[in-house]
Amino acid sequence: MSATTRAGRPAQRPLRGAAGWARGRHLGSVAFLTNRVTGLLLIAYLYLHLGVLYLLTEGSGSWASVLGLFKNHWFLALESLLILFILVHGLNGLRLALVGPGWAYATRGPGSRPWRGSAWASTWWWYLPCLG
Amino acid sequence: MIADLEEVRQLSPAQRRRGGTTAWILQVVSGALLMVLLGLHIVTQHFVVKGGLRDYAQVVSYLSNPVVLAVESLFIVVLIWHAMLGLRAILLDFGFGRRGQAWITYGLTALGAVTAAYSFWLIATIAANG
Repeated sequence: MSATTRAGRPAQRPLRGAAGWARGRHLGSVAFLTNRVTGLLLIAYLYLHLGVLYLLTEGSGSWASVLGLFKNHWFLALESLLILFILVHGLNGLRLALVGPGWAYATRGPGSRPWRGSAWASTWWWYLPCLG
Repeated sequence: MIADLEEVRQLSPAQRRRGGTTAWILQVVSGALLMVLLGLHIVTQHFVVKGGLRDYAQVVSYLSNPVVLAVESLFIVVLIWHAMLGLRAILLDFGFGRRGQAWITYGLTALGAVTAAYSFWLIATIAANG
């Protein structure tokens, strides 16, 4: 017999992994964590990039050899991932910058403008079609 | 979510004294600048080049242009500034004491300065080959 809630509806099976973690958390918390994780990955890439650019100081031969690696399909897939991280970090950062001073979300209480909240909530999602 | 954001936004007086608001404003300003500078960097380095990648001669010729050199130098400064501020914000959230926070700030300032010095040396060396 399957488990049911007090209201008699069948209980939902708990989600595991990232989906389980994200469930029940505020969108803002997920976005905050996403920004930090992508930020750390981009810093790691920055140092990797600076390390690779050192080859340019060694002359054209060294650079020509690494250009071959850059044209590899696996490398291009990683580059696509990099662009995805840049977009997520940049656009989510822009969203956080607008939310922080209160320009994006209306505050509770007198004078609040919920339509602003609804309008700006969409900024979290609008870039997704751009990634496809 | 609104409650979460309110907590983030309303810094305590102690946080304000530690420069939390200033650091946040600098992070936002450098982030906005990065959107322009990084976009410019990606477009000029990859999108306008045939095949998407510059060969050695093209890189040297590109960096020999003083305007490009100035823009790339600004890009380096803003990028490192933004990265170190972000790293500092993450590390400070671990709840270190005042002494620990000071060490983090000094350490990341030194790391940023070394990274910037290496980056400037890199572009100066490449540009000098032109």
